Amino acid sequence: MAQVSLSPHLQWQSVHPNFLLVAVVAWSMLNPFPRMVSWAFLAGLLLDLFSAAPFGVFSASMVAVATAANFWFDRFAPTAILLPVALILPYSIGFDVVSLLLQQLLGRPVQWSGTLLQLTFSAGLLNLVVMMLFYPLFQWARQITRRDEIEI
Amino acid sequence: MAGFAGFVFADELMENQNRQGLLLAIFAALIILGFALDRLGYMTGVRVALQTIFQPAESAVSDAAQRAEKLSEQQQTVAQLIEENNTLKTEANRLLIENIQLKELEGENERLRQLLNYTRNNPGINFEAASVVGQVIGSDPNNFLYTIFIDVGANDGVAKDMPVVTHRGLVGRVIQVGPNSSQVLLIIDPASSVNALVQNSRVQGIINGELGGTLVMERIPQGKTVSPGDLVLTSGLGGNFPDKLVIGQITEVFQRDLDLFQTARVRSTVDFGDLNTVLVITSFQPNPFKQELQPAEGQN
Repeated sequence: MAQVSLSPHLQWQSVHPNFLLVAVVAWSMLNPFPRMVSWAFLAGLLLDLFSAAPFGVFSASMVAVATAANFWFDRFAPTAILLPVALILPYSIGFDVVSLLLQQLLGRPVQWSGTLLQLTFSAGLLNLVVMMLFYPLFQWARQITRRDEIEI
Repeated sequence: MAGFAGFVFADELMENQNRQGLLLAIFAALIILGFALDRLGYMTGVRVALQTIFQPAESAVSDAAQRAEKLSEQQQTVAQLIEENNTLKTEANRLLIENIQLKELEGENERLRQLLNYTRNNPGINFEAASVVGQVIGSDPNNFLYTIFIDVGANDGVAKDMPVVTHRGLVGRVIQVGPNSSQVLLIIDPASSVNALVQNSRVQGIINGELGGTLVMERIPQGKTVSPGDLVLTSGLGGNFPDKLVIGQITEVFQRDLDLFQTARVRSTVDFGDLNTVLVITSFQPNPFKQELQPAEGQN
């Protein structure tokens, strides 16, 4: 909902943040693989269903980025916000590159130089701001779910 | 003992990796299946159903966001508003004169068409009688695709491929229709192509969208003169859009002798960053390609 209806009103340099990508990267860094990959697939699926792009582009891109982000699971202190904030920019660029590559393979015209210079970097910076604001929320959610696991 | 622990750990690691690989394989298969179903057209119903479910919430969120935007806009100073008012009055006067001239030309054109006994499928488009007003309730979640969602659909008479406009010019065409919402492909999307012509010189070309929300007019024949400031309209060629819809104004021309065609950058008259209300032209039926290939009457 935020991505489709609210995000366009938060534009900067003709781009808007990708809330779903930020959520998936944060969740992937805080959770083990089986748990996070399902959410990544679901997030990509929602993007595919609401977008005019060929189906599967964003599902595949989201799972790929989530798998890469999951490398950091258990390798850093979850309370440290610096790493997720620092990594969201390269992961945003990676997500865009993968999705653009898939779109081009599936026949959609892509202008690489303009995209990477004008849009991808600006969108990555917006995602960085969103990560700074919302990462503590994901930390809290992770603590809640871990507490439930321990109790069980 | 340490060796046994190492063996157990390696076994667990391999099991985890196998599980990860299996999950990835399952999701890859689902993605490929979804892609195949999409190509066959089966995912359209799912997309439409999802948009129908979320449409009320999208409208609510979009309304709230627009109200918040309006509140911030009210912070402008009185002096800025007065200056803007004067600029708009000047522009309105200029457009009024131009409108009168255009109406004269339209009348002359109609008389000439009648004289030539020229028949057309759509003799004219009455925006008031044959259009549906829609509010923009969302846009494509990705930064590289330019589509919008509007709150009118099949129940309001909207159909696929219908043109969408505002009072300022062409916006795009409907690509997906649900009962109460539709998805519109904007002309600034790289996948959009519109047959166009330059108003002054009647030079024809094709308007394509570019990343960043700009337009470029391509396939302009060499030797034809186009200049910055020229107005670009739809040509009606191909029957996908009505003719004479305003697209934009040429800002820059790129011409090289070794190229087959010229290219021009076009600034749209529509502000795509501030789209709130659009009109769907319901009286215009785009011609499907196969109709153009049918033989004329009297021929074998």
